[in-house]
Amino acid sequence: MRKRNLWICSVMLWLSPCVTAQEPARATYDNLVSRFREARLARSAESTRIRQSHAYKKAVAEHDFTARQALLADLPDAEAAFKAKFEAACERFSGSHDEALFLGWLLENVRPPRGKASAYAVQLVERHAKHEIWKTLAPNAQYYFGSDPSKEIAKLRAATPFDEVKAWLRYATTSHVLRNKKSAAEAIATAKAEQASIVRDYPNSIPAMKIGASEFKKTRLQVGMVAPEIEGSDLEGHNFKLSDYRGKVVVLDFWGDW
Amino acid sequence: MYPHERSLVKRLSKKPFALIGINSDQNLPYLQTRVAQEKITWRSFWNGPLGTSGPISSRWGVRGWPTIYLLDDKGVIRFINVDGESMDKAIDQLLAEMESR
Repeated sequence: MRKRNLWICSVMLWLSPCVTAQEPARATYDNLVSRFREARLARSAESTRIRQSHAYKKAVAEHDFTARQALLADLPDAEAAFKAKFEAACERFSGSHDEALFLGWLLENVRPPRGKASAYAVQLVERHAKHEIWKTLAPNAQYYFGSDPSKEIAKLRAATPFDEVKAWLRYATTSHVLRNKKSAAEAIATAKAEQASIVRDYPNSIPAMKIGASEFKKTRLQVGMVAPEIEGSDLEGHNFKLSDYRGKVVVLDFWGDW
Repeated sequence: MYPHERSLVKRLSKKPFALIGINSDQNLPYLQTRVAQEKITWRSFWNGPLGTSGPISSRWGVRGWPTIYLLDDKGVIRFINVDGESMDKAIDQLLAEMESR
């Protein structure tokens, strides 16, 4: 038994440099992301400190917007500081599968000029349309390609092997048409028909929930109705249900730390 | 928002009351540190790695953050999007209603 363990250990030792050699991009990415997280946390702490300061409270009390802005102006810009690091990593891992990770970060953290397509998004479509990163990026696909996202979205739809990405991309096209006040009546009718077919094709997908949301609000979320059940996990990963709190007055607060 | 929520939870700690969040931050490790930094003691569902496009807020059709639903002890929706003082008043009303039954 002992001999066998020793053998396994030595094989693992021999393998370990290969494993790290194959995954430097992933390791680099994880490292950059965690350093970026530290930078953002430091900024949040600094922002809290400023907001609690006497000078800031005074500016708020006096409705002095300029003074408030001036006090917050010195906060470090973590996104700008890390942009160069992620771009350098893109260059370093250019052409590899994991290059998409760095492009994805840049896409989500660096805004393109108003109305313009994100250069990172365009590169991601050109080089990594089949990548699993689109599982997290697809929900916002209609915002990545400027005023007319339809061509890029069509390219992605044709390439992606993932059903959930297809559902999101089909939804993105329809919601782009429905949000645009200048859409023609015919285009609106087509978009609505497409939404009905998304619900049929992917009934349990999040896009299907979004399509059904206004009906859900009308029939389940009005004052006087019993709130629908919510089942999920908390921030530590423990499962719980909204109905666990029956017998208590409950404030249900949809929030985010931004 | 946090200071109001903290004082609310503290004031009603002995009452049949709970503040339940549905959090839509994408990055869970970042969020966990923020929760510690801000001394957030109340429980939240996590809306998952898609953030604001996650399943709970999508099903409920949430478009603005924060969005508030205030439920009575039977789970019935009684107020939507009350905040600040009017939220405190609405909660007190529901607690009084419970006690008078």
